[in-house]
Amino acid sequence: MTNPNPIIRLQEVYKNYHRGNETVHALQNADISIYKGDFIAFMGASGSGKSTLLNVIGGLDRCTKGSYLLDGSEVSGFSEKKWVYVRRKWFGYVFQSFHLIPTLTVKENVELPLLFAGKQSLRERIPTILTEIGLGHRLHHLPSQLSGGEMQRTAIARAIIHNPPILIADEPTGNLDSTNATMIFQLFQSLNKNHQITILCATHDNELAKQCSRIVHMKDGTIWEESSN
Amino acid sequence: MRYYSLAVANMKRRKWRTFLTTIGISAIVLAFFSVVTFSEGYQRALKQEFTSLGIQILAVPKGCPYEMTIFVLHGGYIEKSLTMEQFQNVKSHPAVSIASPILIQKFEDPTSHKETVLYGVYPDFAILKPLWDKSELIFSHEEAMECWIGSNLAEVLSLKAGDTLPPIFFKEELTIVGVLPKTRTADDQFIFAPLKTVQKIVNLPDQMKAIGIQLKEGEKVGATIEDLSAIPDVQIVSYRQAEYTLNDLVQSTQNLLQIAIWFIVFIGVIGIMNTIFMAIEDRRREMGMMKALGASSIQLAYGIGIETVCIIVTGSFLGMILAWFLNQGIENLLRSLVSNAPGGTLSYYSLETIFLTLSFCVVIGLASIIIPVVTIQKISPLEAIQDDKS
Repeated sequence: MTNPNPIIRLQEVYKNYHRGNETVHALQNADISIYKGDFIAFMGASGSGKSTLLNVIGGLDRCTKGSYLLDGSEVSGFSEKKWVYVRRKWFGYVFQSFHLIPTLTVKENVELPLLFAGKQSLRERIPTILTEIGLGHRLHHLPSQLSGGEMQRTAIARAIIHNPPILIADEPTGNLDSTNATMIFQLFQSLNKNHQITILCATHDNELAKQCSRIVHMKDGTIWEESSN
Repeated sequence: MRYYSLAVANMKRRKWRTFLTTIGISAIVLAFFSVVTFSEGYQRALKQEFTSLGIQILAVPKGCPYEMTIFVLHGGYIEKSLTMEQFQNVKSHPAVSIASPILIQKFEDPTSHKETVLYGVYPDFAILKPLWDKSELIFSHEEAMECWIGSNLAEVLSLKAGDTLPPIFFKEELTIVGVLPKTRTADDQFIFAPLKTVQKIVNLPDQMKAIGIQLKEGEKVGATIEDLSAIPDVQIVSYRQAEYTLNDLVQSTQNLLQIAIWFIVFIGVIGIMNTIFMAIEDRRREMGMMKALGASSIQLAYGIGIETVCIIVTGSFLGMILAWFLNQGIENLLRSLVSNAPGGTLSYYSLETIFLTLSFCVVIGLASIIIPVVTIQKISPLEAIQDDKS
């Protein structure tokens, strides 16, 4: 069944930036519609524009030109102040390097988005979510006491604790071995299926990408090819 | 979790930096608090000394009148003297209510090097002293080998009324009539005996070093000073003139000291600002990540503000406690170096001073976080991700 109203609609999006005297065209005429419940893998060589596209979608970066509709509203011209609220409401982020705060416990790291969003009433969800992703016994451990896979799962718990409809993961398995990488993708599948979270994930791994509902191939800043699984 | 927990976690993460920043703050506060409390304490002690002197006008031998004033307050050695004839001239002036001769000689115990001042006075000297009872300084006769001693001296030498003053300062033995009440001035260290007895001890018959004068009610100080100045070889100093001049001298020294301290404080504040700024710079990526997690610049600045306040408040209280100890040391040092230092406590602690110091710290804190707050504003959430790719 096709959802007629995309949650995200990008039209003729360009992103240029300057490196010295040179202008780099990171995104060129990017055009994509993303629907609620999609699990999309963005693939391509380094510098193909997949991270830039995810950054623009997640509001971590702004497009130079083009239209960006989020749930029907044009957000491309939003100020950073407005984007703070958009990010809190719509997005969860998972980074390649986890970015956990070393002096905070797993539970406290996961709590950070709730602190910033003023949603501390949702704190009671933390043990449930951590248990769901297999970290129920690690609540009071520091990141230094966790394995790479556990750190990334903590980062995922942190990304979804405030109930964002969209999860953006930029090469989340880049620093993990294949076993942990598979485990993370299984977790994404479960979140996508059980919690209806739209997941946008940049990856180099073909095998993992096959687990996604759609694969978007990028080359030289353009969306080159798209396929569905 | 609250922002406070986050701030504590950040401080714990860089324990040495937090410790050294706190020590830096406490050093600045120590310098500031010490100067303020010492400056205020010194002025108060000086004021107390003058109040306890209880003299409206002082007649001294011609020369440096302010040196003479200090001499009257703390003793010492002055070559020139006043005669009984000059005293009678002063006393007979119609505006004068009390004219009390003062003969002063400083003595040192050659064994312990403790100093004291022997005052030769008339019993009416007690009337001039506002902190003493009028019944004090009563002797059996005008040449009695008797004395009253200051409370500190009595404590140090374990003496009481009826005891004999041991011949440690001078060979004559004086019977102690009484111990004077504590005034927290230099008087607490001194010995007071009849004028004629002291004239004998110091071998200056019919001489005195100064005359303490109190005028009759309603008499004009200026006009009386003018009249008394006509007495040959006598210089007249009013209490106010002496106080202002001494205050000015003290103030000039303190101003110089304050300039030096402010310079140190300025350098310290720049150092603290730099440390806090560097702490933010080191955490740019983390700040970017927090922005990606939904933190606003205000929230991040608030977190940094809590960290800064924690460090500054801890440093401030530590600095004030250290300043208290330092002041005791300075006071002891000052007393051993400056014989004219006022009696009593030289540092004064008030709620106003503590409030002033804390306000000063708040200013340091605000100054320290201005640049970090501007920096935080400019940090992009993208920085967290860009570092991933580098």
